[in-house]
Amino acid sequence: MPPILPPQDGYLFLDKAKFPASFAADVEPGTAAFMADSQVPWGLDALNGTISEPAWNTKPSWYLLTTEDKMIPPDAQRAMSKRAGATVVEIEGSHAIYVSQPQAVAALIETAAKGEAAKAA
Amino acid sequence: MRHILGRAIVLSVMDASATHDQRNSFSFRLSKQNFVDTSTWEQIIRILEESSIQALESANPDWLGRNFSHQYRINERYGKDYQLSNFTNRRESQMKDRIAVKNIVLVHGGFVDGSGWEGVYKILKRDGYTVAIVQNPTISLADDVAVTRRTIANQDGPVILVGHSYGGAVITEAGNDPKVARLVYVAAFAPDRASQCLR
Repeated sequence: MPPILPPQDGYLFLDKAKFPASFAADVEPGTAAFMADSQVPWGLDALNGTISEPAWNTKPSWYLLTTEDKMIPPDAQRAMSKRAGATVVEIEGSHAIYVSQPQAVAALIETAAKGEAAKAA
Repeated sequence: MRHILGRAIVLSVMDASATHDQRNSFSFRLSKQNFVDTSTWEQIIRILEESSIQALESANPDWLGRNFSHQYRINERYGKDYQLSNFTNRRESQMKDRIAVKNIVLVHGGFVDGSGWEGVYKILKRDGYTVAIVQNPTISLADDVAVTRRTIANQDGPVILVGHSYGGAVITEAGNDPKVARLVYVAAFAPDRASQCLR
């Protein structure tokens, strides 16, 4: 389970000491510590907000699935991406993949932008 | 003529209607939709102007994509071989999926802000994309969706909407905006209808 602390006044934080290992294990330690110390409080009204109609039902979707993710388990990502009918690319990396491997994230975005089918990573 | 018009439709994915007028020539109106970017639209207009299609009227461009339409008439000898079926929704939809999109909007998740996108941003900018990063406050989903849609509205054409983590929930809702062409989820929630991140 992610080390989310009990809510304070309706907002959540991650345990600073456990942030790097759970959120950003493959990010350079100094950067991961900065992320832990500069956390934005996450509102319960955001986490618990309800979707009306999911856009993935009508828009083509791509999904970068992180296999070493300690925040959203890979199996949960697999289930959600399959339900969305997304073109899935699996990559070995943490939840902070957009920080640790920006080139892989940008590559998938560019694939979607060009309207091409995704190539397996 | 069929080729020219076919190409225009391929490029534009526009909403078009066609009618036969009293003189039995063929007229049609092209409307710029939100998901057609300005350069694509200008290309279509140029193709039509270079052909022998007669322009009946043309309005001034509206950069937001509204009230921007041209009406053309094709003489009978051209009009006869032109089929209304070229305008079917199915074909428009297929073409829409193939159009290259240049606007990228990035939505961050919980516990972080938009600065984490810097590495992705630099690569996309280097490769010629227009990139906007949403600083969604993550106080409520409804508010984050509203903030994201404001950024989408500021783009000059169709948008690729990208969400990380909780940002996936934001794009799942905000992605219903007609300017959003496609979605990219990055280790993200993609909730179902009437659902939340954690079910």
